[in-house]
Amino acid sequence: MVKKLAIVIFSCFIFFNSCLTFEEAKKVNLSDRSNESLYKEEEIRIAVSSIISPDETFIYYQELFKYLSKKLNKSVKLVQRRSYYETNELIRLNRVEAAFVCSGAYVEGHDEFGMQLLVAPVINGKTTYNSYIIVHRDSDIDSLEKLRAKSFAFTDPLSNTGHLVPLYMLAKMNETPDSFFQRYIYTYSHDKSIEAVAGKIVDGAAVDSLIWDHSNATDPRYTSQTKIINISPPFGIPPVVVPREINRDLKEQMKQVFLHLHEEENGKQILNKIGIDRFIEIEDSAYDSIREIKKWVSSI
Amino acid sequence: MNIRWKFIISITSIILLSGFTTAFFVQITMTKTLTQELMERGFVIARNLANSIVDPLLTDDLITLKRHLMEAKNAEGDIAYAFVVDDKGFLAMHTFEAGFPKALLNANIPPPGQGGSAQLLDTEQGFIRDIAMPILGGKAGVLHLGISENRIRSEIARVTNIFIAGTIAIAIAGGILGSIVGSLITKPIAELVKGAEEIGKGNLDFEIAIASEDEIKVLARSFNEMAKSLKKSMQEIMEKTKEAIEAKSYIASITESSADAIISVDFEGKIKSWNKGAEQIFGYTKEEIMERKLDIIIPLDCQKNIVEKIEEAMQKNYVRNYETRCIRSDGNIIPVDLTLTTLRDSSDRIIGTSMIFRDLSEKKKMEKQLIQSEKLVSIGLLAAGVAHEINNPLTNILLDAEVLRQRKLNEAQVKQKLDEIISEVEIAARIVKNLLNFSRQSKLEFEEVDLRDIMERALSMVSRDLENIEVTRNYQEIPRIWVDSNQIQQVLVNILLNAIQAMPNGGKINIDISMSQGSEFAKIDISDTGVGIPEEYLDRIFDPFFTTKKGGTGLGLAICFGIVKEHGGKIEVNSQVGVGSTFTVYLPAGVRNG
Repeated sequence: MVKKLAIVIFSCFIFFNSCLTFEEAKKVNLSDRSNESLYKEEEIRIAVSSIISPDETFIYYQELFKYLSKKLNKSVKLVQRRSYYETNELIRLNRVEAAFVCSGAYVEGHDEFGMQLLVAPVINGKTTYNSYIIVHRDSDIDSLEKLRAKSFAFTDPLSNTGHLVPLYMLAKMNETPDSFFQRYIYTYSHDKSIEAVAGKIVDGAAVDSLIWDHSNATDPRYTSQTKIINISPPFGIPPVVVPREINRDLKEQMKQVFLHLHEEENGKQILNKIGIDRFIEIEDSAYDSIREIKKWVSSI
Repeated sequence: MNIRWKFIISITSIILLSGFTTAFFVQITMTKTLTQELMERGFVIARNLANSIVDPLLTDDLITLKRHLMEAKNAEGDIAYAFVVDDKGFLAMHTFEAGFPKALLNANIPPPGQGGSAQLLDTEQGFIRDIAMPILGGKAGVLHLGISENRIRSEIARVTNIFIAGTIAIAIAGGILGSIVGSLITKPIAELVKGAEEIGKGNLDFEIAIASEDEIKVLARSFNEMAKSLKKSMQEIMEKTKEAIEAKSYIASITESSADAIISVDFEGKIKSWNKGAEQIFGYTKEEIMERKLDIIIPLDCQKNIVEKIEEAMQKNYVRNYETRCIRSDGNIIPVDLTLTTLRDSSDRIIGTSMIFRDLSEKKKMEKQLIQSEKLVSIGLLAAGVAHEINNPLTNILLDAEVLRQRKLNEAQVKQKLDEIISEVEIAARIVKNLLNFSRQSKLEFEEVDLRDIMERALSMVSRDLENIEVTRNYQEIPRIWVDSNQIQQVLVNILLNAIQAMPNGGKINIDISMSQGSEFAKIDISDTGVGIPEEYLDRIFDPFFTTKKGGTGLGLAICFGIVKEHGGKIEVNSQVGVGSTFTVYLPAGVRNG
């Protein structure tokens, strides 16, 4: 009897022990540490200024960048910064090989440190865009004037449509944001401004027509909550730029890739997805209107 | 092993078993629950962190990225590390102070999709669960969060240890309890054992005292009752034994005091008991004869018959009054009456035979004397007849002698007279011879005879008394038989005389000689038309000295009975008062060579 009991108990112990380690653990050695550089620098870095928020941008441009990488036969990194200023700094310091920038930022960069135009997208057959003043769909505000003493969202201080254009409009009314609005904020991207209006965080906002139209066409979650109460005159479309000290061959190589993108089936599909017809070469003069209002605004 | 230890071991084992089983399941459940909880928490943290680091990651805001990771790591004590791998698979940021462990980079690669994955890692710092959370669905990279399971594991171990310690404590308590319970049970059992031992030693007065009110008590009560009834039985057995011993010695004293030889033999014929009577009759002492074969006291020619009688006794349980002969130690042969009884044991199995021998020497001697005296009486009775019988030839001789003396006869006539004289002398001589033969005391002399001749001789001896009696003979042809003719003749004479005396005024005597049914016996029927014998006397008429006649000796029929019996035959009588009597004598048929 005792023998049997002993056998049973012993078996139970064995059973317990064998059951207790029921999850397979992967053996990992933590002592082999490395202090090597965390970043592998890519061969080509292309910055995208925060016209829309970084995650949206990332998703938006991912396929295009992959395609560029393949075409250039070089690794391409998408570089983003929070503000146009920071992006312009990357270009100024020649830390990127190319950049998608806002028209306002281009004018600033070109005039300040010789930022060069590479190509510009043709969207809906046009190389221009507008600034929309939007309010909430349910709002009874139907003009900029009626936004007086209301809250307002600018995008970036260097933004043309999100900042410069509404400033110009205010200036023409002899108003400044401080005098006109009850309060105003910088969202640093157009999608966030649309979201802020849709969410009634602010009463109105100035946004890039390209962004609003694209969003309205692809994902009208927020745009449907807003309505356009003012459309600015057209301005030169946000271009693709290169630093002043760019390698000429690389510049030419990149330009050719962009210009011929729409000629290939694959490239055409990628462009279609992001709402771009094709890329063309553009003259600096296309942005003179912006220089005009900038000059006007800064003169106040 | 005693019951107490069995109790202790059983209870301890059950407690240990259930305790360890519970500990095992608690451990499993705790591990599962806590791991699950930790993992869920980890996933929530990772998901939030992955969302909040999208901007810093995409905008190369490494400071903010690091800050987010460090904040997450420091907020939760369980988080061992956090690191971010970018969309190209390069390490973007980590929280390790002394460099990044290379092995971690590819330790947990999440499958494509939004879900993220968890992988348990066994590191020098203990078990760490690496949660890989894709950033922007994996397009922007992957966040890895290392959640240390040391805390929950130590917690589980602590709980398990408490459980095991508790189990062992309870097992010890159970063991003590088992010991107490075992004692409670074994103490009365020990009492029982002691009682059993006492009873085993023969101390039937021992009474087991059990205090508790349980089955043991019932058992003890039964035990005590058993002891009591055992004692009672023992006493009864003692009494019975005493009685048996007394009865045995009583029987033995009767046996010893008997003048008859009472002996017993076993199956093989060995003598097993021998009384004083046997010593006197056979001349052997008990010491001499015990365990010897019975053959020593049986003559050769009787041995076969004795064996047959023993076998017969075995079938019929007994054989009474078988007359045979035995040899004494001095070589003399003595007649005995033997009664055999089968001996059986308690299960009714035959174990031998008891034999009672009665010495018939004196009886035989007396019978012979009686026969002789009866003969003399008969001679007395016959004398007149004999005288008359002899007188006739004598008268004839006298007459013939007178004629011869006158010498007037011629030679032929003389010769005729002389022949007549010789004839008459022969007749007289024969009569005398017969008388002499009858009167002579002799031993049994068997011979082959014709029963009808003996009958005729008997009739001739009583012929004088048959004057008024009509004798009818009805003899059948029967084979010769082996008898002592003189003795049988006396038997027949006695019966005839009895018949004659029963018919003082004459009558009829009818004599039949035939074979009995089955031809075992030669049969003689002698019927008279006399006064008959009253029924109440019929049983006693063969007893010695029983008589209803004036001047009778009461020996006649008794002698007849003795003689016939000695021949192995029998006598029967049928009688009706006023009608007559019939005596039937049976004698064994056939001629023997003994």
